Amino acid sequence: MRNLVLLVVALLSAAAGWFGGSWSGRDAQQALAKLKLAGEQLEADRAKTQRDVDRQIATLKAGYEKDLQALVDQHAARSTQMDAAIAGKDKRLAELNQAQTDKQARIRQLDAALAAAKTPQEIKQIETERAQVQQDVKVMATESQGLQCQSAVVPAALLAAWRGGQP
Amino acid sequence: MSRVARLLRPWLPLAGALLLGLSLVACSTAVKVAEPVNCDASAELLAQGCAAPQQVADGATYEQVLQAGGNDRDALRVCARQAQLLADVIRACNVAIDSHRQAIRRINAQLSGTP
Repeated sequence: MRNLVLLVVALLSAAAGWFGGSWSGRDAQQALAKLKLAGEQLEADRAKTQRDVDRQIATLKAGYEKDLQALVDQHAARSTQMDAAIAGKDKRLAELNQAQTDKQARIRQLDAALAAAKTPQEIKQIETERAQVQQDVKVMATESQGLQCQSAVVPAALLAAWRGGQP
Repeated sequence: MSRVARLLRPWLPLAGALLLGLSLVACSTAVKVAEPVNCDASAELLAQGCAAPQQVADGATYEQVLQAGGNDRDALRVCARQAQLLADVIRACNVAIDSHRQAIRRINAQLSGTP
């Protein structure tokens, strides 16, 4: 009998402990459920932000690749043009010399025509053309000088100043 | 007392097993913490640098100096575009990180019950 009472008391105590524990753990369970929901919400937000930034970076990189290709193409075109300009220097110099000779001959013709001109209108017309031809000769002489200078060695002091102490 | 102990003794292994089981069930209810936003500027892009200026040796001609200068100008354009891309990527990353921070703050406010 005594054993039976003890057993009943033990079972009642266990039941009381179980219910008491369940009741006190309810707040913790609710807090945990809330936390879990918040974690899921945060993960959903993070995933969306991640997708957005990944897409944005991919767009930026695509734009960069496009611009980079354009810059590479521009460099190739400019280099070709520069090489051609350097390689064609002698030919251009010969063209300029011939053109200058022709223009000088034209100036002499105009001088003769000016000496023989009768009317003010005729004189003005000849003078205008002579001034234009003279200007053309000046431009050609400047270009010719520049072309000749192209293959000249840069003075050491000037080159050192241009490099600013760098190789 | 010793009789109670003797009475309960056979049940001790079962009680232990139950406790272990309960604790394992409790451990399985895990809350995942969100990772930070990953901003990938790519190692390849970060490793890219600007080309050094071309070397111009003593005795260089004017056309050689002009060629070196032209190449350096082209390289500078590429370098500037790289710098612009990196700045744009960092700007996008900052916006994303700020957005994630705002989400964390919003949820923290919800959890703490403050508006």
